[in-house]
Amino acid sequence: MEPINTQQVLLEVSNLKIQFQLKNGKQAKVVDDVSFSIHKGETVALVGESGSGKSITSLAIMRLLPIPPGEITAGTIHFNGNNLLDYKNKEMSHIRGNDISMVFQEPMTSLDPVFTIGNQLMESIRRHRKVSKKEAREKAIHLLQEVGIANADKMIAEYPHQLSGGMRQRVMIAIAMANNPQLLIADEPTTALDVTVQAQILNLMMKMKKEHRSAILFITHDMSVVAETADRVMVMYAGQIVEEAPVRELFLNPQHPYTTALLKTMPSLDTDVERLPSIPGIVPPAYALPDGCRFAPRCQFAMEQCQTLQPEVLTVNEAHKVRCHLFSGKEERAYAEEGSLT
Amino acid sequence: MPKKEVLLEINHLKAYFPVKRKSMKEEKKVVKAVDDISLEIYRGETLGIVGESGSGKSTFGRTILKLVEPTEGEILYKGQQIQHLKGSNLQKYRNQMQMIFQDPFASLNPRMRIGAIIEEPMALQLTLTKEQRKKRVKELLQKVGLAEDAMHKYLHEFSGGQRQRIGIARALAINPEFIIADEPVSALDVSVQSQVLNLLMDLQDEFQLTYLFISHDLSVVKHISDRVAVLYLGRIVEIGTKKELYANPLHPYTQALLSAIPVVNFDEPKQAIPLQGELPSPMNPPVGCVFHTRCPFVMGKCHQVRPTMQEMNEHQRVACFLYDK
Repeated sequence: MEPINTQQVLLEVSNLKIQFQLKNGKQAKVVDDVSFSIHKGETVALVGESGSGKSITSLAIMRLLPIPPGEITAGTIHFNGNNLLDYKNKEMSHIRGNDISMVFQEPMTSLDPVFTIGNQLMESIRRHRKVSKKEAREKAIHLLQEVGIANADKMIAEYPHQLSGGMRQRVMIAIAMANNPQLLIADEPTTALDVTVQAQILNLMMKMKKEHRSAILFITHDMSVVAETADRVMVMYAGQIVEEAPVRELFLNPQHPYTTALLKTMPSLDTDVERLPSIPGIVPPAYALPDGCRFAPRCQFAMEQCQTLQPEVLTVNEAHKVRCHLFSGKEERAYAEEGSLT
Repeated sequence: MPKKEVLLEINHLKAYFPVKRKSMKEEKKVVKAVDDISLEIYRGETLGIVGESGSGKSTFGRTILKLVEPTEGEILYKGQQIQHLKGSNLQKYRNQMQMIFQDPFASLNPRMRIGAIIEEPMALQLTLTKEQRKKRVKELLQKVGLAEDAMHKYLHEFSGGQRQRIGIARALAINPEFIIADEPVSALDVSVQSQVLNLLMDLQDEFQLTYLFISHDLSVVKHISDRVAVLYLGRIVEIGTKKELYANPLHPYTQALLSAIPVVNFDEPKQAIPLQGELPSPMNPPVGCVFHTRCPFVMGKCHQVRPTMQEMNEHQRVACFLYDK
């Protein structure tokens, strides 16, 4: 096996803007000027609270956005150098499940309840490969074994409702990995699972990623899962990426007040605090975003310019970017001196 | 700490559910959702109940409120047996305890205004006049950090965290002493989760509340609890003070649970104790120790005999043969 060239860009999203037309006539800017890239073989985490636009971003990459009411108003999504947004639906269906595949949070709703899991696995294999039913069946059994399902040759005839949540998620991963995708998008794949099962599924995903040499876009709200799996992290807030950095750097040297606050608000096993620090207020709805910085109403470091002027993406170092006025100019030093969030 | 007063004592509590049979010839089966649980809850403390889904933690909470009829066992509230109470006596007992649910959108009526939702438990009690109730609704809204005009709005106008605050205000309406919180923050985002946890802790201080806090999230339970009980397939496998249990978990299941939580530590890779498989079906629990099918330290004895709770030290009790003297 030749080594994966991790320098090579696999997916590049530039200046993506997605709007939703609401029934009351308002426009919701769900994703606003999002740019990022994923290299081959890399695990990138996209973190954010509900409503931050992380799932919408991933659906846009898969071209699964409901249009209308959704609309991609600007931007490009390049995959291996080609803009996915230019593809016809038919061309896109060759990419989906083959080059890019997806694992969702709730496997019960994403698996079809009236077909056996073998049926669904074989479908995704035969959709993209010219193989006989028999070969597809063998491949399906092999995949089920690979994701750690015992008695795979019997389990292949089971229906989704006969499996537990962890098992269903294993099947989902098997289906997603069936055609050795170059990119796996995992949208909160372990959120519905218990911790001991979550640990199993995370281990499995990392193993599959290695064997199938895929890159992963890992969408989650759980910072500690990020710390254990990702190479790089992007923090999303109200439709924008507010900070992006290699995982270690993000945890040890966060620059955006939102990232800092998120890290502090996690109850953790190894610290003892009387009160958890919390972020006051709520995420603003996408149809009533603040004029300036979107985090300003909840930010304890908010300055005058934050209320009116949207911060640009600034470079901390080559791999570390942040969207915050604090980082521009002299505030940078003041912020560093004042120390982190109290 | 002053001498602890036992508020609630539970002895050998069982809640079994019959399973529907396909024919009368079939053997009768039961799901043992709560299987022989004994513990005591002290006034003013927070007892955390942790376990995976299907471990019986929610059924346990409901059985205490008699929302689920106990199959066997005793529930003593302030020394008084309550498992046989019915009608108005049961109502009196329930007046002293309330429940907060995971999903306030499912547990509160979306067609009622917030004011009416919070007022309802008081109206049922018939002790306050309409004016007094209105006044109290306003007080409660303020206590949980919502604006007064929220009483005229409907549930869908609020975010998840705010809805949970409304659920808390309703639970507090009749001045309960004891609150069962069933996964109250699981559906919330982290930044909002800490707001609600802080609110629960503030209210506990202010009103001297006793909490039974049910959650699958060990870090949340660690934050809010004084003592913690670990449930597995309807049984308590370990119970102890928070400090002891988290610093020195004794039961292999507690150890595995704690090691399964992802941690932010880039310097020392953690020593995970991977658990194989998943929770067995409570319809057909393993013979012997319920955990033996997944236990890394399983011995011959574990397949046949069920271990009993034994006191390890002042702060910790565990049900495991590894600690037999």
